[in-house]
Amino acid sequence: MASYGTFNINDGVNYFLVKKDSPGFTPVAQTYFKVGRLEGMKKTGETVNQKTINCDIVIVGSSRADLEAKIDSLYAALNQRGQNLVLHTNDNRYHIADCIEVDLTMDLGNILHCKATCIFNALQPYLYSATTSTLDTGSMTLTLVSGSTYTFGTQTTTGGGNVFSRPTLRIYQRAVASASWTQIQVQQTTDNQTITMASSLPSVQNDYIDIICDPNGSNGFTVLKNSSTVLAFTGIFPVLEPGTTNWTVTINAPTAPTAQAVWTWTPRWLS
Amino acid sequence: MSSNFQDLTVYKQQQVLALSPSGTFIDVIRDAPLLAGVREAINAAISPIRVQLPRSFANFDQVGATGSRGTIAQGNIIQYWLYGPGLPSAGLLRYQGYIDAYEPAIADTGEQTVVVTLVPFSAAVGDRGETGTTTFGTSGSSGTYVDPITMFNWWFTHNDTNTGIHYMDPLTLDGTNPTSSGVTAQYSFQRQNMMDILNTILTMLPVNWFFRCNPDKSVTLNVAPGTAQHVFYIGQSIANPSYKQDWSTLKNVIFLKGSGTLTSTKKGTDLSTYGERLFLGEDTRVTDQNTLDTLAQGYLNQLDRAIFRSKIRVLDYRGSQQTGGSTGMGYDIETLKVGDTCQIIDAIGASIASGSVWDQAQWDVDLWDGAPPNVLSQVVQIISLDYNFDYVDLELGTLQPSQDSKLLAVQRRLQKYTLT
Repeated sequence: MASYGTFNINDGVNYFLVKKDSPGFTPVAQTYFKVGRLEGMKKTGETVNQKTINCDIVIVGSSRADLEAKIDSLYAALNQRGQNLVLHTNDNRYHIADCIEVDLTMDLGNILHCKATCIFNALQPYLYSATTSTLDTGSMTLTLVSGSTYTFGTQTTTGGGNVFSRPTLRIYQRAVASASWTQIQVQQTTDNQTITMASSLPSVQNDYIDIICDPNGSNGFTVLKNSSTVLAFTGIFPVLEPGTTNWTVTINAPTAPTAQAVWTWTPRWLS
Repeated sequence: MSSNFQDLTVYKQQQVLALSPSGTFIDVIRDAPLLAGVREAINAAISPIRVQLPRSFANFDQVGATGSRGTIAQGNIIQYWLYGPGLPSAGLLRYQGYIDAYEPAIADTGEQTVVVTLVPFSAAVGDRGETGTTTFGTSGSSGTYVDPITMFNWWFTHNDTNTGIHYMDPLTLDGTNPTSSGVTAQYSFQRQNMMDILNTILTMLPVNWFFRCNPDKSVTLNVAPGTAQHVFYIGQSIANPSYKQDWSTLKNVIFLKGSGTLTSTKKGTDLSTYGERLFLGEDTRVTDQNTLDTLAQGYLNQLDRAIFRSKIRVLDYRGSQQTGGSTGMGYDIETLKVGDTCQIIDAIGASIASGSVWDQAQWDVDLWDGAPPNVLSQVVQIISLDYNFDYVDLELGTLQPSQDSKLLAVQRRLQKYTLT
């Protein structure tokens, strides 16, 4: 299975994916400095940039005219931006990619087929799973930690994939009576990441906040109340590890809150 | 330990927030580059920075644009918060400033950007001033003299009659500032900007006092301690060290003229070493002999010394799983502040048991042809700091003298202020 958006680039009749280099690992760019008079280097950080994917697609037609028509169809599909590029055999994990170059050759004597060398640029270097995952605590009464701080208890997610993903965490106020929450704090204890909200919190039943930890897309890196009001916060938007990630969510309130927390994420893959 | 660079037990991250001029949260600046290019110095304001954001020429989140939250607007406050190992869980405010310019552009390559200029609140030291006269103490009456710290604090707690707000608003005093310096003086501040006022006050104070503007809008006034607050080791925490000892700007005879026939002369004890090197100055605002003497002594303290200038790059210890944390390779650069004292130790260089010159070395004990490491190991002050997220560039010792600025200072001092 291989596709770009809705276009099948390996249908076995018209288009044949004959080469791909997507199994490659996206290079990690590390920052180094030389410490005076010391062997080796000191690393101060690292990041991963965009991924470039090269594919060769052979196009086969029943005539020269048919071949050229199929080339046009392929170009029209490849000219779309931000499409899901699926190249994996086992599942439908995908890059979000742009096709930035197509080099097509028609060799002497080959009337009915040609090869297109395509270069795709995935600004986000990791592949997304075709399915999302969730963890739902269900509506529950939180337990007292101390003072006016209550907790869902330690929640554990198993991320999937083989690289961290960026979840959205929704916290509902489920009590029938209006609540007077003064603080919500989410601690991702595996990576020591904490985010805290202390104003305009959910009050009436079924009010909720969304902590959107993915900066890409609409309302990325934002805390929203009832999908409309932007909330102030302190801290870092947490990530979710591919293996086990432990979470501690606490709510400060005069009495034990009745609340629900739902994590939603798309597992991601290095390749 | 996670394998990703989001792990805040290893890596440092920033969060950039946009607030309205009244301090109300607006939104996150998601595409801000890592904080860099900030210059901090003693006795000066924090530098403005220009931040380039990858945004559309027509819609860069300015007020009124479709779907905009209005983060890019004059007067909006941008805050850089840091999180990571060794930092407060609520974050460290490393820089904040208000938007005072923005420049959208489209390059020939099609790249669209907007460059935003952020001006820190410490710009008040340059923007504000006294347009009238504020006098502390009575000339010739030592019982009325005022501690220079009191003079310094006054500008943070009294309103400018022109504006009705504090002279230094929104800056505040650091709660840890000393309350007394042990000296008193008399002075009349007339038609001066705040930078000139604060530097005049520093001249009245004993040697090695400084002020520092902090990111949280507080201002620190203090004296540099004689012991090192930070110790850097060559071979562990610094890159590209260099130093210079310079006597060329030393002045050891100070002649200062005040109002009327008032004069004051102060001489150093090193005339036989360097010969006379004269500094001439005039400040007609000074009508009190004791104050003039204090100022002259202040100039002598500042100018009668060799300038030790060193530049080093200190690397942040964060960002690597393999280098021993805060006690291993690198240094906690977020603890470094201008005005702090430090010391450089050559941990792995050639050693000399005593002395720094060959004619003091001992036979069969010291290295006769090695470098003198303890030239570097004197306690010096961080004069300026250039911040670049993963490292800082420090200038140590005393400020590099600018010949142009010195000429301007002398010229300003020689101007007569005629009062009626």
